[in-house]
Amino acid sequence: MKKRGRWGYVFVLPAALLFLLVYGIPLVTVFVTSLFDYRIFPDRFTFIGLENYCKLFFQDQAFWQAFFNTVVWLLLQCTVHVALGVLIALILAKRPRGWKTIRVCYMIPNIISASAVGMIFINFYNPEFGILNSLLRLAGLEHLQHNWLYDMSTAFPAVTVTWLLFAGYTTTLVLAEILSVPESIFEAARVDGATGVQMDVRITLPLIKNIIATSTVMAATYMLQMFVLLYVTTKGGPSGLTTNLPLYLYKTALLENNYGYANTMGVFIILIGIAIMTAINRAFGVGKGEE
Amino acid sequence: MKRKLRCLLAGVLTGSLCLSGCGQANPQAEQGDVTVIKFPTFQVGVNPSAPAIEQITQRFNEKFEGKYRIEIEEVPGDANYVEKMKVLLSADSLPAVIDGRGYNLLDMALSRDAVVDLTPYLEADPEWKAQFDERTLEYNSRDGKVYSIPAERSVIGYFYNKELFAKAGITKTAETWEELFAQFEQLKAAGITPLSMDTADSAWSSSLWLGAFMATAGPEAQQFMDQMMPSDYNDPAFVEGARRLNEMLQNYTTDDAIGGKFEHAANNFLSGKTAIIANGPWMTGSFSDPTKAPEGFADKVGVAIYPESCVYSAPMLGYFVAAKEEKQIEAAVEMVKFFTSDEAQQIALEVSGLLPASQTVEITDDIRTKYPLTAELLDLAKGAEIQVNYLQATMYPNLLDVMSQELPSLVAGQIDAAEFCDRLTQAALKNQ
Repeated sequence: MKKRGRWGYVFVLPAALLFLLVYGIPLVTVFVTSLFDYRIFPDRFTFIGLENYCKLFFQDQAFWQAFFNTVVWLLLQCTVHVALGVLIALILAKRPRGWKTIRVCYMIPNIISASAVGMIFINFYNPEFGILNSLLRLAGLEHLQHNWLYDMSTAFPAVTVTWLLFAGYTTTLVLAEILSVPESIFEAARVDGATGVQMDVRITLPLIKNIIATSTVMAATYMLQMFVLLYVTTKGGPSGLTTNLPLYLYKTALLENNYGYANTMGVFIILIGIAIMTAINRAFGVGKGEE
Repeated sequence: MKRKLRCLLAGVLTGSLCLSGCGQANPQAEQGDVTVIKFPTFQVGVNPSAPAIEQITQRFNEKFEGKYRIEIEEVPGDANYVEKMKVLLSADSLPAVIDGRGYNLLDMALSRDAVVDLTPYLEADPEWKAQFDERTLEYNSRDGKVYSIPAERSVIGYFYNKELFAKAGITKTAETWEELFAQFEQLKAAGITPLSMDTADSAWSSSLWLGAFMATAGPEAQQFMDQMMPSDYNDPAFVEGARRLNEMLQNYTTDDAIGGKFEHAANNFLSGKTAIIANGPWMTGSFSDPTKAPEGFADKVGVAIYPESCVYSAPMLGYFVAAKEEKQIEAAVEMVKFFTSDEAQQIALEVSGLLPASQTVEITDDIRTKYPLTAELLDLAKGAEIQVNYLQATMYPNLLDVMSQELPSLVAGQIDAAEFCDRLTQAALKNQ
């Protein structure tokens, strides 16, 4: 048994080393440099202790705006986005006419690169020739026209729509899980007189709980990494109204040349990432009864 | 066993670190005897200077065939180019030659000690040095050393559509700001949108108007315009400029100006939708380009300097060398020498109407006939009482993003002109 354990270490070693090199060392570097006034032009690397953290939490309003935006988007993604994906999966699982085509079509926005999706929405929202304002004009609703991505009242929802409604990944994963549930369970329920909704709520959803948890974790990580769509559509504007934490980090490092402060944000993003993943796993009871 | 495992781990870790350290990409490769110069540039695609750069590159590759070869890396959008250079600078892997115009990349690269001093090369080639006047060389020097050489000079006014002006009953260009705003009203009354403006990327066209307001606000304001990287934008003249810019964005431009890129603004002007656009002579090539403007459009365009006899006219920062090894430096210097030679500047002038930095490139009658607007702008600039550098050439690069971010808020009334200027100041202070 002891010998087998040693071999286990040897087999795990390459993966552990790779993790250490690719993630471990940079993670330590991010934490260490967050304690420094670290700039590249001009070269500056001075230890300042927790000054960056104090500035982040007590002085930087733009950070709190980015944090608030990130939290709102996280909540929307983990609830509305996942719920929509599950709902569509439940409908498609009943195999209505053309369900395979719908499944493929719904996946398309998730296959296209984020830059291309961003460009599509820039044109869609264009105040002069965009489809949205053109349709409103056609419908005689000129008063509803906006400069959707740059109007202070519409920028946030307009950007959110570019990803919130496209839950193709969730639908595909959940649908595959539903289709793998033995048909005999549903037949037994039907014999007992269960309605379609009762079967969905009482049988299907409890059986696919783990894949919903996985989809929620994926949705949360997607949101914590969200960058390209924001960068392409609004670059976080107007006035930081659509800036999230990764975009703010990027601007702090690349535009303001403040790498130490950017890495302080990096540490914070890592910590809230860990906290969110733990919370989701606990909420869904993932891993319970597996040991 | 535990000890052996530790030794093994340490060995693999050290080896991996060494290997990763050796893997740094060489920005300039050598293929056989030919030294390849990878040259990232934003002067590609729809950029009006793209045809000139393409032709100059081709000419260089022909001239130095078998010795050096330039390979262009396309980085569309000047703001994207600046960001890319900053990333490469922070990774210590700058390309051999950098186009430093407009965004003050030179000082950033110098702070990392990454720039080659070109003074000895200039001294060794008196003919090359004689191309540039003292002011140009001084502008491109730091601590008495010349670090960059320009191929272009900046003279910027605004273009207007003569046909639309006539339709609105405007017979001459404005000499004061009051006259200009009165013309905007006239144009509006005739059903014409007066201005092409933008706020995305670096808000280029809008920032030209802002700078012009500032430059015409008195001698102190002019000094501010020529100051490199100012950090206080709370100057009352600047606040007033921001207020008037807001007035322009709110009342006299297209709906897509807010959030729109310069390309949108240019397209609105080229399609005859707007009457005025602020930009430099490099745009004149687009007026006669059938893929960008309707036939005969060039004949409808006139050029003017800003009210109160103001024009942007100043030397520009040029190309600088950031190569490290001797052979690479040699190739890069040769490239800069060629790109700033009279031959290359003549090509740029003929192909794209770019104004030469060299005082020995002649603006011939042929050029005047081919680019009448450029020639007219040069004549107007000569008589201008106020000649300053443009705003974006002197501001900290991170302010470009702040301008783009805050202008929509200014127009929406979320912030006022004073708050807008304060946000620029706060962002500028972050660089210190």
